[in-house]
Amino acid sequence: MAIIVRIPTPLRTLTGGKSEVDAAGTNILEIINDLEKTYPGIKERICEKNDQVRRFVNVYLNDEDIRFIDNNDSKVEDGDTISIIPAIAGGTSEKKKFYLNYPQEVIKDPLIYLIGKNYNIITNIRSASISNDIGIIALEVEGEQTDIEKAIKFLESKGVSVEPIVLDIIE
Amino acid sequence: MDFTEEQIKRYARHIILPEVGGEGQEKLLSSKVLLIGAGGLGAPCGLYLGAAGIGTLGIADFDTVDLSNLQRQIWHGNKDVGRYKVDSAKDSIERITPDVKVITYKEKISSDNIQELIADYDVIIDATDNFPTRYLINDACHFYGKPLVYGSIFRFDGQATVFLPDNGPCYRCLFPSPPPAGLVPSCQEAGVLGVLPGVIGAIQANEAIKIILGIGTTLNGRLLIYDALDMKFTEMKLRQDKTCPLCGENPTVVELIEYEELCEFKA
Amino acid sequence: MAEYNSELDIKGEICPFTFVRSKLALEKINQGEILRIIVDYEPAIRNVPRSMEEQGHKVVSINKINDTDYEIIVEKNGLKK
Repeated sequence: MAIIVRIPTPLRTLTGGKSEVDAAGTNILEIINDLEKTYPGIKERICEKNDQVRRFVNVYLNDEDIRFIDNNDSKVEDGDTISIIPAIAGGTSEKKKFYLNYPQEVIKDPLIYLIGKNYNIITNIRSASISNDIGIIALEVEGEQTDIEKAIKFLESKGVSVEPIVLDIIE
Repeated sequence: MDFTEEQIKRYARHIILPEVGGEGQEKLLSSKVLLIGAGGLGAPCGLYLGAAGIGTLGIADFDTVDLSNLQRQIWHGNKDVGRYKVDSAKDSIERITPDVKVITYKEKISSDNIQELIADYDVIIDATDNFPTRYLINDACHFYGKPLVYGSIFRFDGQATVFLPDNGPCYRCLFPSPPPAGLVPSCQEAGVLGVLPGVIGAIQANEAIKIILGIGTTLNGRLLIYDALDMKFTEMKLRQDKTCPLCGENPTVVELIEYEELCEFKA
Repeated sequence: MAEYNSELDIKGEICPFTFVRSKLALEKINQGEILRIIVDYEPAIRNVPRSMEEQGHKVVSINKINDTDYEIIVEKNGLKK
């Protein structure tokens, strides 16, 4: 029995780029297990270890969310279309530039190393002026926006003032 | 209110429409829309809202324009690189029309300031790019009774819908919780076709205008899915979830929470 | 000459603004009331009535009133009764 499964772009790396694939089964879980046989790795992107569909992924049987039918036990029939719809937020990796103004007491602390290590962002010092009592660094960071924000919060918690570089003077 | 000569010409194609007319155009000119996010979704959405004569357009974004934004954020140009996005956005609206009062917000949106931010507006548009802010906006619109026009994009996939207050469903009915940090695609995996936010952002502007005019059928109760690669639009039923942590029968989210940490929860 | 409740002189105006201005004038009067529109743009005597009827207004009459001008008499929502 052939059922069509629509694959969202983030999972198409697992289906060889295919946007629609066939799968066999009489309910949703059987379909997902069948998909896993053909496209190993896809199940863990959709389900928790206990087979429940993850809370940030929805599975639709035709146009109905399976949570409002019978979850994994929802019966499927020949000709049905199943769609996998993940939560998406639109995040793209961006480069940002900031001036960091260090208060004297933290000038010797390895703060830039720490933000790179703890928040998984790439740091690149574009210019710096550091003496015994003043530290100004123009820093370029690259990473997910939320990680960059956390890094800024961390720096600010250490007393560093963080200002976006509004004019593009260091390119 | 009487239209100026310039307004009669400017809005002639709206006034001609039976569903809009002069009365509808007056509604648009006296409406207030808050656009949160001045990036890929915000650009087409804001430009169309401005051109449509939305009387007051709030634009919130703390970010500055980067060269890598220009592939899709069509209201910023080369000369705007390094400027605040909201300043660049304001300039581009003012280039189109003198009718729109643009109010810019450069502060980062948080649980502390969102109530005040959205209070004055009739419709809120989520044109953001990250999960914490999306949950924050959703929850705030639920608590303070604001219609929310949702749009989201990733690579070639787009989603859009409308959440209405008191009438469910909300974003948490759709996705009860965000992906844990490790499962959000990494920097290398992320990317977006430049046209995609253009399509979704324009749909958001369309829905906001319909809400203000009270015409047609909005996407409320339907999740619109756009696949730009296959060029397919499909729609899914979007139901209020009785177990929704926000608008369900036994809510666990009863006030605004700390959203930055939300994404670190293990699912 | 027909009875009317209000009058709109849009001589010098061309399509589609003849219809735009007529429509705005109609919005200001009550249902069932009569608007007299004066135009001097000849195509308007075909275009304006057609658009009016499409939107439910009754075109009572169209008359040439002098060498250059025409009147279009419209009843607001006259076709929606």
